[in-house]
Amino acid sequence: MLVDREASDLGLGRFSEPALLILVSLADGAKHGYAMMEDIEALSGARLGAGTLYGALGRLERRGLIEPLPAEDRRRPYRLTAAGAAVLQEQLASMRSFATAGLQRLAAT
Amino acid sequence: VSKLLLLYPRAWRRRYEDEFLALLEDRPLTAADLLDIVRGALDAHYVLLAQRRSTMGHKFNELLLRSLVWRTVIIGIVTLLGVACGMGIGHLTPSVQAMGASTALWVGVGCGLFLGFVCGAVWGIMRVLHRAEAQRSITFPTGVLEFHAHDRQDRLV
Repeated sequence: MLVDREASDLGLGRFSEPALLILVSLADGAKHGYAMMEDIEALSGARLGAGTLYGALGRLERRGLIEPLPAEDRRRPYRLTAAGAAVLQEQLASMRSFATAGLQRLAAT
Repeated sequence: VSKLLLLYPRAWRRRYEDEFLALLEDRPLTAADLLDIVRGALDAHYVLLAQRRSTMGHKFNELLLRSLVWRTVIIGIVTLLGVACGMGIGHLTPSVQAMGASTALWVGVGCGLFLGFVCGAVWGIMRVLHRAEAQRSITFPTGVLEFHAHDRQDRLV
């Protein structure tokens, strides 16, 4: 479908996971593309490709979840917006309750 | 690698090319990275298509349909000619092994032309959409398709 989707997975299809990783990476301050990739790799072990990173960055920017800052020597940093922080908070809270439920079930068996 | 960026839409390159190239200069590229860049280009075209659909409203489908129909007719004729030539070659040449070098060359050229034609058609459709967005009207053999302000919607994709 070419239309906008409002789903619990950020509504970004196959870009949901990279988008979430980007939002987490930007949670502690603005970063440019390379810094994000390094941070995400250190944080999750996932090595994002440049094409995937910019696909997700574009989507997050159009949704107003992140915003670009002035470029510094061709490298443009991005930062989380207030809307982005709220969405990230919601996503992480949802993941936490899901993980808690899963761990409780495991402990019960 | 900068040549690969030509696969991306012009609007995307205007916005991201500098920082994207700066990012690629910062780390060694693997074959998987190159594939990811190509996949990113396809995605960028998809996003552009979705944005155009949003701004053109219901006229987008009509434009896409007309554009597709005319190209399908042309590709269909080329395909039929290709099939007829292939049948002719098959009739004259009983097996691939028995095929002479010049016949194989012609078959290769024919396949290449057909592939180029299909790629050209896709590129042509993207150009038509771009022109429609810029000029607000497109002339087809069957008439002119015009766009007005009320066709436009401001939905983000």
